[in-house]
Amino acid sequence: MASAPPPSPVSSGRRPSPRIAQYKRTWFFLRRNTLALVGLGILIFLIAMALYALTLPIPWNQMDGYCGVHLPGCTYVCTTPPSPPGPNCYAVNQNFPSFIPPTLSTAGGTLTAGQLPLGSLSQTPYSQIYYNTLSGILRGADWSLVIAFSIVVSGALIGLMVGAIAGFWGGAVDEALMRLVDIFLSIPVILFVIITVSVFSQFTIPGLSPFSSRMLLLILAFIVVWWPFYARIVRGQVLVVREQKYVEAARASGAKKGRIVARHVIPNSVYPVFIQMSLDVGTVPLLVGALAFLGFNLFGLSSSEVLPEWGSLSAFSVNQFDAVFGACSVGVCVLPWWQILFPGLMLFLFAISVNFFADGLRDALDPRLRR
Amino acid sequence: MTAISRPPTSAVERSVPSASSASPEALASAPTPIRDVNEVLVLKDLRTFFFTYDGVVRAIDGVSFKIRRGETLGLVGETGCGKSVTAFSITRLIPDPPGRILEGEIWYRGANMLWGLEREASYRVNPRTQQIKIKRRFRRIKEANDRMAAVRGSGIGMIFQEPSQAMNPIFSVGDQVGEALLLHRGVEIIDSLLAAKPDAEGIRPAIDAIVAAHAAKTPGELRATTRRLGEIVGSPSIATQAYYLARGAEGGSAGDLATDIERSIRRLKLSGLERNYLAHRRRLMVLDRQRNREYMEEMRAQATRGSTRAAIQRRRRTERYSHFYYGLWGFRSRVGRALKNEMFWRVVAHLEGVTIANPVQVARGYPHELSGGMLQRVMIAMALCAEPDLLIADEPTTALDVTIQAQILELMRDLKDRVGTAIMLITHDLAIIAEVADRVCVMYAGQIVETGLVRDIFSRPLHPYAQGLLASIPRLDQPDKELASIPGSVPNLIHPPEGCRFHPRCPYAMPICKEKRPPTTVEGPGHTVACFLYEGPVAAD
Amino acid sequence: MRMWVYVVRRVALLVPVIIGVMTITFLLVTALGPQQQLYSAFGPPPIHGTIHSYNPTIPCSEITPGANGTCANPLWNELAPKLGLNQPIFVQWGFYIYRSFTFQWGLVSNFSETQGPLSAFIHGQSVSTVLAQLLPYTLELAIFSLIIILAVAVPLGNLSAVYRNRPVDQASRVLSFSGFALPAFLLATLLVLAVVLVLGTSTLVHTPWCPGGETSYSEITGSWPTPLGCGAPGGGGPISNFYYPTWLTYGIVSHPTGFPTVDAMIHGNWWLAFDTILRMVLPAIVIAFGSIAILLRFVRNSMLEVMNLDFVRTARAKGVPESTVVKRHAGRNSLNVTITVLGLTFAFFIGGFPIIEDVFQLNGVGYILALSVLPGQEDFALIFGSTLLFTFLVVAANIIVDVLYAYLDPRVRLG
Repeated sequence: MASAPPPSPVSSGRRPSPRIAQYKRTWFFLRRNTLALVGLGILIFLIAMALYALTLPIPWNQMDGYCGVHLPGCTYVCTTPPSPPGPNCYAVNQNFPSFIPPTLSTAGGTLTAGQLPLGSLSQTPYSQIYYNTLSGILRGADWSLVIAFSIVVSGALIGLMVGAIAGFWGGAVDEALMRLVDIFLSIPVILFVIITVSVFSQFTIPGLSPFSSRMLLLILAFIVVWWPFYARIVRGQVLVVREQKYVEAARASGAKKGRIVARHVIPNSVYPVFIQMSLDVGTVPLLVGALAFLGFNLFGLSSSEVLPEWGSLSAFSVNQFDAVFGACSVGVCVLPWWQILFPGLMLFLFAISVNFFADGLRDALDPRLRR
Repeated sequence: MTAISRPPTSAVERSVPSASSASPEALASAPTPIRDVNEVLVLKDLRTFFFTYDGVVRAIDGVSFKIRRGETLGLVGETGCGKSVTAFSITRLIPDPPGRILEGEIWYRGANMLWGLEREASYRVNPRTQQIKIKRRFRRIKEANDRMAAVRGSGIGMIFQEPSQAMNPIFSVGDQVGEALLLHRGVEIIDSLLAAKPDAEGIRPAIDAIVAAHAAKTPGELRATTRRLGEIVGSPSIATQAYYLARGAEGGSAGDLATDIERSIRRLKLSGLERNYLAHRRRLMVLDRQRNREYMEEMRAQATRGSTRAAIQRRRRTERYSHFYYGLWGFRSRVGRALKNEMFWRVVAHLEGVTIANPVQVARGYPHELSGGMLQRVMIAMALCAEPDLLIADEPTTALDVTIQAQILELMRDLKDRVGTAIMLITHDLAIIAEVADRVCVMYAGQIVETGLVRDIFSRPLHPYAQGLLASIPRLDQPDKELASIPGSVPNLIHPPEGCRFHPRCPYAMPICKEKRPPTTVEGPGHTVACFLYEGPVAAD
Repeated sequence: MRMWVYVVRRVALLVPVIIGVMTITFLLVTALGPQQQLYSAFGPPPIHGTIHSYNPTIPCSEITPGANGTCANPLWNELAPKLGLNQPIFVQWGFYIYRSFTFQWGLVSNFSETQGPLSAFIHGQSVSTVLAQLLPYTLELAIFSLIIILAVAVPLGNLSAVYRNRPVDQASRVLSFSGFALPAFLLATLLVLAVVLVLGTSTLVHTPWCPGGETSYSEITGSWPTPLGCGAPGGGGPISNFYYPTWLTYGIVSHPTGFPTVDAMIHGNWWLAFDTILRMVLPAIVIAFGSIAILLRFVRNSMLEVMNLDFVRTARAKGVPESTVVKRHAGRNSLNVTITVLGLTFAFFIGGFPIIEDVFQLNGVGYILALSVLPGQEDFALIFGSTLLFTFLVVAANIIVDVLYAYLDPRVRLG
């Protein structure tokens, strides 16, 4: 049963400014959402991993542990009678701890007990190059996060500006801009990125290596595809904010349109953008992986290198699946399951943690869900 | 409208003694039921809080009053004083997170509808910060909500403030009123539909009489003739249908009118499949009624009667299979057409009862096509479908303009005289109270400060707040008088003032007002007030 | 009558969008250069069948234009005016728009070397014909996936809203997000692997279907029955563990509707129809798994919003039982958002599922697209033709969504 009401002061103290109060309130609701907290935790862990990877002496476009056949610095470890490099032999690099991975047999296989093969090596599909899975994942953290954030932030900024202008000015400007947005929304994402990269890969940007220009092209293509989503969201929100009293008050007190947009409209229409941004950050690496799966090797066709990015790594590993199966000798097949599992797992963790967090954010910020 | 009739109790219920599963200790400590048949609703010490991010809002803190049969009680107060919360608490429409009825008793028909409240949630008070933390038991809350279905609509009806928002925009008005009608009067309607005699004697002459009355343009005669046709066929909806067919028929075409009426009578001929379907629906409705009666008995006895309720649920579950069979899309729409038709014309007749001039168009229309006043009438019709004992009207005219307001109030007064429904009228407009109400409760900041007859309160307000309210009404006969107002503003209900909640704004505040909450004292016949200025005998409640 | 007006108005609003997309592809095509434009439009020279000698490696810009402004390359002189290549860009745009609207999207010109029996067959065919023949497969898969998504996401979303923040809500969110976060190719491959390892070779992942023809490079996955390939004229047929349809093996195939399942049923070949559907199960699960999260989220939020509206309270106050309130009053009102997202999802699906079709070796526009974008051997005619096709379909999906709106919500219809 409820006890007597507690003693209450007559009036409350100073109330903090509305925006800070909104942040505190948002954090309060996020704190109560276990899934969002889990997502945030994983996200922080991944970002920490990326930051750690920055300190490692790994070249930015490679993964360390490359032990080409007969390259110095590599030794070979075999599980069956040694004949490097065979299906049961693994090149081991001194710089990174590596363990002999347990093998998974397809003939009703069993997973033999062994150590966690994070440091063990994987093979690229195009040549006999082995790379260290751990370094691949660490570097991949950097690349995935950089690509994702740059695309999402740029797309959001462009979309924010376009949407704010369209929503606030209204009339013909609004119609024209929204038609433009519709046009871009009618083209499927992957398709457009593929087309853009295909068409423009013949041009190289002077001053950058082919790899860099292709990478930049990829990012630009993604940005071009991505901003319409934000424009539409922002416009919808601006249409609502535009009718609020404080905008009217600002206009009545003589503020110019630009100032109103910058100081009042945009800060108040931004919250769905945050949510969408956090969602997209998780989606972009998935799309990059899909592209890689379809054959978009950023280093160019039949290169011996593979971009150390989570999506690309798992895509290449999966693509290699059939070749591995096809090369099964009679009896036992060796399946390098770790090179499929770990990059894919990282990708999964990233996407799901971001989604949990964004979902919690959406629940916390939505004013229509009465609390 | 017919008199209120209680469905007969079944043999099952009579054989099972009440409160069989309650332990002697529970019986001894159970609150004594108030069995005054003249009182429709009794509230005792109701407390409803809202647990929000900003704190615990003490929306209602100890509200008690009684409503007698047939009387109109007005609940008056400023915006935010807790009037609507009281109304929603009575029918348990408070959204449970974040709201919560903490304690209290609400007696209706000898049953405490808030029975089992303490088991629905557990509370913990943090002694350091004095914050109340609540943990809800959702299953029990759901059970309580299901129990309320026995009372809502059939015993207590409600109408709300914004009629255009209060109706579902995608269903027609007729559908929505029909839903309420089917829910509460479905068994009788189906019975009459099944018992209709489309081949009775004397239909032909009755139709001729209708045609003659239509040609003669005498509305009274038209009414009488159509009613006679309805009696002959045994279906009141035919009477309504014929009446509006006649009203809608243009000029001459007498032959058309007759054929139309004949066609609608022919629609009453039901095939075997349709009869089966109707019987099946009727069975479901009877089971629902039994279950509702179970709930009422539970609330009266303040104990769960698991056995019979389980039996009813089992029976209903088996009926679900045939319901699936009948519910196959397309099948039901063909087979159930008779019922739909019947419901439509019953709805039209019902709408006539709330003085809607063109009920057929209204019933066919959608909520966004109708005006506020019309919709409010429809809402009243919907609430009165089951002839409830009590109608709770939550600011029914606030969203309407003054002329429509007058019409609605006229309607409500008329209903009060004709049917004898008790009305709980919630408003902030004293003028409405003066016009319609018998007794008044004045609320301030979640508590009732004064209760009494309208006459007494208006002529001799006792509580300083009531005095301030009445003094602030501008008077036509004193044009130069300054507009009085009550200084200060409505208190924050998260941290309400201690003691008497009005004391910061009261011109007569005394030291004791800051410390203790004033008891409710009787200051005249039926006139109670909660103020330390008065020292009458403490009220018995 | 009002409905028709509404539909026509919606269609009219979307025509500029189509033209806009065509403009974008036009710009991209122009960026490729005139030689590529010729290739795409008329195919590489040997297929075009002209007897003029033509050196495809020398672009016309390097050949000195003639005195009257035309290029000295005879093939160029003949074909360039058809595309307006020697006219200002606005005229070229006009030609392009006209050809796009009349489905003259060019010829498949770059498929001779890619893998797969399919490519040998479609080399040199008109892009629109090829796409039209492959589209029904993708559409069938899309519809099947949509059905699964609807059947799972809508009830689950409603439940999540009614039991907000309780175990059902949390569990459904975790499940749907897992589906969303797992990349499709990973899930597809793992699923195929699981099926093969656990069930052995089953009907879900078939043995290759070309009798006597080349087996597909993978022992694991099979292909859909299609007339377009397998090398044999008139096509081959499926081999299922149950039934060996003779009329297909002898190469007699007629496709009244183009949709494999429907055609099989028209022919009375129920095993074939069942077989086709069975092949779609795994891919549809993979697709649905990834998309349920999106729809679930929207259904849940829309339902939460609706349940807070006034008329829900009125329905409860009338005495309507809670289950009916949720299903009938709240449920139908929350369908608006559901339909929007469904339309968006369908539009997204129309993009083809290059990955799914690649992994499961199905025929469909996505698969063709995946083949045509391999760097170094791109077939631009097919790429841009696919873009136009997808745009048309997205626009059509939008129109259907709008029509559904009007049907469900009388306010849209009349107001």
